[in-house]
Amino acid sequence: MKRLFFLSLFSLCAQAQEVQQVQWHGYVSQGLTQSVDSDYLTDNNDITTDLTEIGINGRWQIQDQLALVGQLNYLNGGNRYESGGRVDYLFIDWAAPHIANWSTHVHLGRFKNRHWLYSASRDVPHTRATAILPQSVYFDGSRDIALGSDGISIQSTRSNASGVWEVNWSYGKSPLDDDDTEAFLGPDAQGEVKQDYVHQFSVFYQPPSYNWRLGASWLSSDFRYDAAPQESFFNGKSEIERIVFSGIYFSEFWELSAEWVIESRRDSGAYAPTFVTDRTGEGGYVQARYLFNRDFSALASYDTYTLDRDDPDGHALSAMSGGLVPAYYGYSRTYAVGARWNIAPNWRLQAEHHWVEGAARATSRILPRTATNVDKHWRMWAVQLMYWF
Amino acid sequence: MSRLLGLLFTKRVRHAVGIALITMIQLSATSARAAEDNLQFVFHPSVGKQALSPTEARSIFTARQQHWEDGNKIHVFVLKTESDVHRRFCREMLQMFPYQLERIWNQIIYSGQGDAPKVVPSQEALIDAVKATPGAVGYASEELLQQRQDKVDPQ
Repeated sequence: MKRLFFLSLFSLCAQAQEVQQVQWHGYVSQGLTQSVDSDYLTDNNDITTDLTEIGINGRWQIQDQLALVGQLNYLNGGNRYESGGRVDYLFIDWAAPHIANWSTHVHLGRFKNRHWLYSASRDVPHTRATAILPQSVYFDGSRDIALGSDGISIQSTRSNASGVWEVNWSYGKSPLDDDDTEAFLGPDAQGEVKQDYVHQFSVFYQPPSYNWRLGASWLSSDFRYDAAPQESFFNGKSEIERIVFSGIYFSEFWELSAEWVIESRRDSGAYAPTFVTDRTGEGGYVQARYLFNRDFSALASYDTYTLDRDDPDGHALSAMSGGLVPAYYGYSRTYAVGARWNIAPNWRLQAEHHWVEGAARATSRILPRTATNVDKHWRMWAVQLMYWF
Repeated sequence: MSRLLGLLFTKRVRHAVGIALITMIQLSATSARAAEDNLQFVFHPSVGKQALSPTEARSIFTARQQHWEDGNKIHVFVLKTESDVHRRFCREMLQMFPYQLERIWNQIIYSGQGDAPKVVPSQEALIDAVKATPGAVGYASEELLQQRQDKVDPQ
């Protein structure tokens, strides 16, 4: 996949001077960050530069209806995920003929998840509100699964005097690595986690005023764990269903966005052949940005998530583990403030501070464990300088 | 007394006439400025259009519609985001806030959803680029377009 990407990129660059049909863009950003009383971002309350995002993308318009597009990026998000380079997306974009005023694009290859408000460009610093997105919906613990997939995606849009309708459907699977296996079962797991498929559908509506955008999405995905011949874990399976409601409002000086997620998960096997656990997590965020002028804005947000909505305070979770897992691993509540300054065209400085209670989004494992060092009350901050072209 | 009244009347009349004149000049200046500032869509001749409906304009400038009805690719030309003309274009012709349009473009460009609009430094350059690119659309002031038309066709 990577070799194909580089070949494509080379081809794009080689022809860039010849025709207008090739475009390329990119971004570079570097930040300072710290998590206090938690190893969520950094260890030992250290202030580090582990907040780097670099990307370059190209679009080669082969014919009017056909294009090859790709983006390669390097990410370092501290302890949130493994740092390194990756093929963010690489797909063929085919513009299908208009049918009944519907404009349709078919993407074949590694495509981006477009089903939530910020999912398509969550790794692109200047397109998102904060460096650390609301974890209820944009959980970094399972980010590789939620970023996009290898498969097919179809987007259809219809605009008329009554507004804009957008319908997205996608089917594919995400390549997972050892880190994803560890995220599911912990560092002792010797086997391999694989995603069988991820199936997604979403609908968005924007009224003629364009001030609102409302949407709903559905996701279904199955994972399986193939245990190694000699280990303490067994073969296992996880089935996940996710429904997200999204809304965003634009006004001259205010921008409000909110999303709510309901996430059902059934895990079986892995810990024991007869092990079965069912739970429905729930949460969401509300985010408000005030634009003082075209260069300065400030943000405030509240984000909440409950691992099991039948156990909002985590008492049952703690009791199930015999007190080993504190109750605050069952929920997560975050208040955040931020500020943004557009220093010059294509240059921005952004700062944010988050106060968190709970650790539900500090670990993505089937059974939460205290392996991630998180106090009940902790906080984190980030300052990021970014440039894009 | 009558002389004094006459003087006062004259002064009042002069004052009133003065105000009326100033108002007329201001109105005339405002109207001239409005005419000068009116924005208009500009197309490559291959497009075969003279205008866009508000819905079409938004669909095209937000990249929701990337092809003309005949299947040809749409090439969008715009001025720099920070230019006053571009900001007026967003508000008056798209009825959107400039930051909204910028957000949409950024999401499109960095997730592979479509072409970025081509940014040009001036209205003159924009008209030249549109006229030289089949399938292109952009915007410019009505007055400037008229001047360019007059140069081409002095009659």
